[in-house]
Amino acid sequence: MRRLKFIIFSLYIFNFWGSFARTADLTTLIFKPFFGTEELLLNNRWYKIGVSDSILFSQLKFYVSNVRLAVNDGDLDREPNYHLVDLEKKESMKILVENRDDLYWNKVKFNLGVDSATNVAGAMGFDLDPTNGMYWTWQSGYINLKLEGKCSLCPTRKNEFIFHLGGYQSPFNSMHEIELVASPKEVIEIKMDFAKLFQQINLKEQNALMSPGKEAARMSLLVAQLFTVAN
Amino acid sequence: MKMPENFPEPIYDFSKNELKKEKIELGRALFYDPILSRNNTILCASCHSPYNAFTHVDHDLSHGIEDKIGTRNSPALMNLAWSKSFMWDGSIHHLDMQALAPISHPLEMDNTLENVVSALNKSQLYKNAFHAAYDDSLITGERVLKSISQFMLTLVSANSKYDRVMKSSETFTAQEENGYKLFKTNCSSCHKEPLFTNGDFANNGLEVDTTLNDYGKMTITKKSNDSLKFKIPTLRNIEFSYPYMHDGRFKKLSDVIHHYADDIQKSATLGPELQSLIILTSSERVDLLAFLLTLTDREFLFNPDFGYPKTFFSVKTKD
Repeated sequence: MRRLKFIIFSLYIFNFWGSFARTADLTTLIFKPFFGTEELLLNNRWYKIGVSDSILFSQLKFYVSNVRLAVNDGDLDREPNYHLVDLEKKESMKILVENRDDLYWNKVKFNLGVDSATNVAGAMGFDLDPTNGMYWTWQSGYINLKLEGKCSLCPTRKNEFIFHLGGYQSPFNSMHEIELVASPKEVIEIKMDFAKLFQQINLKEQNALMSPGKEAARMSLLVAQLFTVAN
Repeated sequence: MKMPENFPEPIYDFSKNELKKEKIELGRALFYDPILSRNNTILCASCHSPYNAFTHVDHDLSHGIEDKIGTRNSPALMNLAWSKSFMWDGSIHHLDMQALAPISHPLEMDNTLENVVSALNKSQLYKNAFHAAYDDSLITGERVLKSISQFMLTLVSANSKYDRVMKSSETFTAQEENGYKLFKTNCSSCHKEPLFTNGDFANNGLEVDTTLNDYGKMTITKKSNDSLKFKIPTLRNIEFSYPYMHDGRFKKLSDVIHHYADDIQKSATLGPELQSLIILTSSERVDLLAFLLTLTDREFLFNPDFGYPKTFFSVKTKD
């Protein structure tokens, strides 16, 4: 009996010490778009914008690449990776990140968009395959983010706004690095509050962007600033 | 694929798309198959004809689906592994992605890569061809584009009379020799040997066609010092790739020589090479023309490996 108690006691101690040093060896990042306090859903509801206007979203797709964990200034080794996050495909909203050596980390880092080198590296597959509709056909380059919908503020046909943000060449590079402080967990919820984006653009005057340039670079930076850790 | 000895290092990264016989054959089939177009009528070869140095002849502006007329003259395809950029305005940076432009253009094939992949997936012939090429019959956009690239990369032209003269296995006539001298003095800074292009963009003094208002590279980069700059095309096989210039405005080579000698329009972005007058007597113009004709490579033009793949399309399958 005493031996058994000793074994149980030892196991408890090991477990206790284990959980101090232990971090998740597999973390899932879940992207959660919001509009203010409401979950952002596609073709589902009109959200209030401004004083008396409303906005509806019909498409949200963006590339998240080079996802890695980090400790202060040092990145935990990970191979290049590219994910197409598409609000129409629930599974794509989750990204699994392994931490094979079970190392401690306190940051999540990734790029919003596709890096320049990959933009000129030729045809690629899976999430980077041009059949995903995220590669410009008339001019080389990935579309880093697509955001489409309607808003009563837009003086356009069917009140539509179309933002296709891309561009990989200086000075209009629209890919941005994002660094988020996060304590190690098995699930990290990353929130994007798009209401903040629309507070900084004027839909009456700016409602369509479909080529690289100053405006795409500016708006993509605004979008990159929307990402925060929610849990 | 033969790498010509006197050519520089290729720019295309073959390590990402290693040439394989079955992939080249598949790419060739796709090049000659109207399945790429929305209504199954337009193939790559419609504008890039193997009988005409892989360009469209007799049309100043190429035409596409439902006889719609486009905005530019299709360029001749050859030596693409050495190209730094594609299209007259440099809008495409990698050979793999070039096919996307005509496939999707509403005046050319008016289709989407997704539709192409979907249509190919319904074909047993293509499923078999993808299996032979890629060891599984998965058809993706990436594989379609890379296969077409492989075929296009094999279109190498390096055996014209000029090439044989350079290798000392033939000699120029006196006329051609004089033409070559004139060429080196007046043309070779942009049309650099042995590719006969330096791959850059230039304003060669063409007056803007106000029915098109095509400002070339500036439409892509939005920089004013790219105004009226177009990609310097290769002069190889120039005998067969009329009409000339991005909008096909010159039907004959003598018109081109006349332009350079007599008709350069000055503008802010005119190339420095063209700032001073090019003086050519009429016999010198004939000599220059004679030299340009030595760039014709019959081995390239009549190579059956580049033509319509009869064998591929004659295979009977249960579709």
